[in-house]
Amino acid sequence: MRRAAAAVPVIGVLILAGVAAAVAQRRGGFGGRNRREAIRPNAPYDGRFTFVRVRYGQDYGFVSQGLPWSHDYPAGEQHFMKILNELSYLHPHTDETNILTFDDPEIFKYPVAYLCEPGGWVMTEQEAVSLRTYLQKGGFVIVDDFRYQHWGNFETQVLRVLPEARFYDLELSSPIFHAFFEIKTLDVPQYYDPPPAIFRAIYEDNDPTKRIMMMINYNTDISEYWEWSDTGLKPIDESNEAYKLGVNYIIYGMTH
Amino acid sequence: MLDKLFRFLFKYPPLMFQQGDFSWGLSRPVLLVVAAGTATAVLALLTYRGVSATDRARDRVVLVGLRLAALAVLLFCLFRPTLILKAAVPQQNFLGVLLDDSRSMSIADSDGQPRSAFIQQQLDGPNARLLAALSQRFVVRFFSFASSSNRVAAAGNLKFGGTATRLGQALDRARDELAGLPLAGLVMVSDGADTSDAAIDETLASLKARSIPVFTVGVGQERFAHDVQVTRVETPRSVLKGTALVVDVVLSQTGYGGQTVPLSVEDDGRIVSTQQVTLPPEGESATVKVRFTAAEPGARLFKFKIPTQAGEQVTQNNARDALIQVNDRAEKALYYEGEPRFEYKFVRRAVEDDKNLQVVSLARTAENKYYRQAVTNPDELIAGFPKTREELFQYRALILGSVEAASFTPEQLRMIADFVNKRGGGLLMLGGRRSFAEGGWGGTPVGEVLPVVIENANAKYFSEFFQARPTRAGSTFPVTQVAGDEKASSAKWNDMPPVSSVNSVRQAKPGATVLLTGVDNRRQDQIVLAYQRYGRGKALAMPIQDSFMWRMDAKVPVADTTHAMFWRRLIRWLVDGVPEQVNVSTTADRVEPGEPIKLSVEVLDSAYVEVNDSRVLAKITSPSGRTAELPVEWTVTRDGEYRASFVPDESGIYDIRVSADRAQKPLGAAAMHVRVSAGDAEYFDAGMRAPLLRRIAEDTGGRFFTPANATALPEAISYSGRGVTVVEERELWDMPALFLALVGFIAAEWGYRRMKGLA
Repeated sequence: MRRAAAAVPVIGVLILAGVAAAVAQRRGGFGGRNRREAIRPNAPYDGRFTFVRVRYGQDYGFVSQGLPWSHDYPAGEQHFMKILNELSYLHPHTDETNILTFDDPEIFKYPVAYLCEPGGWVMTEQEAVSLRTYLQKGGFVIVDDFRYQHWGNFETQVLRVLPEARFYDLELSSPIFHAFFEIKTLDVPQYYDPPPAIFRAIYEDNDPTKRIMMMINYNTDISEYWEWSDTGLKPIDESNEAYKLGVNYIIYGMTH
Repeated sequence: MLDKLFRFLFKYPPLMFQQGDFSWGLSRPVLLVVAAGTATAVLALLTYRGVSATDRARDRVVLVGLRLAALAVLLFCLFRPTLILKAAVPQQNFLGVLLDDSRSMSIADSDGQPRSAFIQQQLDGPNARLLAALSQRFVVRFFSFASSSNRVAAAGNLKFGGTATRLGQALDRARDELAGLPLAGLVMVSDGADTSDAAIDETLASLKARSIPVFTVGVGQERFAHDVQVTRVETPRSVLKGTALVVDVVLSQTGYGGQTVPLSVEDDGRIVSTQQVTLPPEGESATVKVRFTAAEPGARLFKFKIPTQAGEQVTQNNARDALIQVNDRAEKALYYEGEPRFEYKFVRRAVEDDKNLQVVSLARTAENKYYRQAVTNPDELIAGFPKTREELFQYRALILGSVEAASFTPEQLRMIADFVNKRGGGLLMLGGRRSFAEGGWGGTPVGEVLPVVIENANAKYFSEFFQARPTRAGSTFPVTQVAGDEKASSAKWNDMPPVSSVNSVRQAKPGATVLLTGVDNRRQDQIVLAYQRYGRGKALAMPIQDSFMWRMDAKVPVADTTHAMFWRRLIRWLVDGVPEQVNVSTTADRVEPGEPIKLSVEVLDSAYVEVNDSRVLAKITSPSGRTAELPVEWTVTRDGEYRASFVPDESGIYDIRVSADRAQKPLGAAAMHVRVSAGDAEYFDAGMRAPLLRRIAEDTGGRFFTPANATALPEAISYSGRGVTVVEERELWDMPALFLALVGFIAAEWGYRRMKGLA
């Protein structure tokens, strides 16, 4: 049964690879990520899981490589949601994804959120207060795609939100790595960062026996795999590992 | 006064006319004289036929009428009317006098005198007139009665300290004691405030069959002028520690209608709740919802109390006690969720800190893939949802999330229905795209159990956000009353974030109670929470998908714990009162000293089928710590039911632990506490109960008296016709009433003639 379940992302990746050309065309080719792309309207709430990407900084009405929070949008989350839909009973919106700010009341309807490239993360005071409330009430934030030179800013911003927060380096035994897939190693493939990937977490009440409120993928970029998994630029097995982590994070966030 | 006047006019008291038979003592010579006189009168009238007169016809009618009336009175006397009575032969008959020795007799509601004053003045000592009158006619035997009945030498031996009144038992005792003796009847002096649960019908039928009349003397007022009473308190026998209870307290009063008084709840002397209540109008009862938390474990004595009001006649009925077993253990509930979703996470979060709940969770994350949380051991639910009754019935509650009926086998569906119906568990179905009609639950055994009607499925239905509001029942229900009182709770619900549903559930089943409701985007009612009792258990439906909004919504402050409180209370309510494999109960949580404690034990196997061949043992620990073991035997008449009883010899709280095993294998254990103490039931509903005393008298052929007319009691007993009697003939022709009538008619005729100038 476990082998069968592990095989599913492989199939999913193959399906995505099969439509790679068309998607790549739509996104302006593989080099198209530097282009500005209009932000699609958010999906209205209907109770189904919707991927929420957090925007910080000014709202320009578009995404681009110059706006780090938007990296991999929308292909990254769309691919990820399709994989999740294939693998699990989550039944998420697959094409429609949301972009919200931490101080948007709407974000509280979606207790799992994704924050990309926090190296340049800036927050208003209101956003910091709102994020603190979000986490304390039960929200779960996945942080991804940043590296050594970015930690300082990230830590500064987090401590604005949770001055008492402590960062814990996670080990393989952490339940988050076993929530759906049995992750065998944390020595995961890196898209472009020099290994190793570092997995950190902030626990509720700084108590490792409690739930993880913020899952931090440091010195790695798993969403990069999600975005490009339909292109064949990287081996399927590597993309699988990135998906597995993502699926586990979501299932963990839905159960803890 | 009327009685005296009657006696003056008719020679004898009314009761003698009621008891006696009327007859004529007409002798033959008198009959001949009357016949001759009548013939002469007729002849005389015939001679007047031809006489013409000038007077008017009306005068003639009046005069003839008055003359005939006078003649009729004379004739009545000549016919010698006689009253035939059966009179008890003096000193040949016994009379049982039953005196109420209970506490309520010391209530001073008879012109400032206690009720017992009548006994002390009329039946005790050399100056007791009623006793003297009775003793002249009968051999008097005294009995005192309260919780038990005893022979006493004299009325002066009574202490008026009995903690219960058992009228039927007292009558039975006197009847048996005096059996075989010539008995004129029984006299019962009491306020009639019977505190026993047993019906009195059998006793009365027995007395009637033996022709023993009971003459009751009711002492005290039927209604107090000034009194506040905590009439009844309805509490569960056992609850989980930390449970917020909402119990019904029934209040009544006289003389304080509309006043507001504080009602407090004490937990072993410590005040745990106080609220202001408005007393109901005169003669009515009001049910007040009282909230408090059972915070301390063990056998706790809760007291519900209203302070003594100015001028109150009975102060002892201002408080009621209730013994509640507060269990400090983790009750197991199973939450099976068919898909990963936020509702699951937030329900779990709400209850995870509750030490008295273990919500074992099984989330189906993919096909045949489950994520288990809070399991007791690594094997629990390893293969998914339980496949056997034994496996499922270990839980006390079952929460079904968004999971379709088709994922269960037919046997599993029947098992879930039996979980409620037979095992007595609590079932809750949550809303979701795989729940209710959308999950294909209509027409399944589980759909039968649910409190709502499952209509046609509509996979596209989405209610949009709507406000959930409590119904009338929900506004005071322990789970849905989310603030200190009804008003605050209603305001809180108005302020709660809206929720949504993907299951259009509009109709509750007959017998179900809707607690929360709302109106969807089509302006149609949507049930949010409903429940019904089904078989031994209860079933709830909560067809919304995102109660987590009550926690996560942006406007809810972090410190607001309403969502967690709601879910804890809901699951606590689900597991509350769910039977175990071994269940022990007693008829009452308090018995009088000397009264037996009757244990009833139900024994079931792990599939909750009754067991008749179990060895059941009760270990009883007395208040002083002495222990005794008592075998509990199968009743034979009912499957799975075992009974035993014992008489406690100490006052205080007895600890009773029952264990059952079959073939050396334990089936389970249960524990409970019983309080042995003198009760205060005597002071509740303590007004003199004239209807009951009147019924006792009338059903047995006796009469009901009050102190005001008790002087007629000896005669009433004498002429009741019971015991050793002689027949007495009492002449009635010389009744002053007849003489007055005769004189009256003659005087009237004379006066009429004078008035009309006919004299």
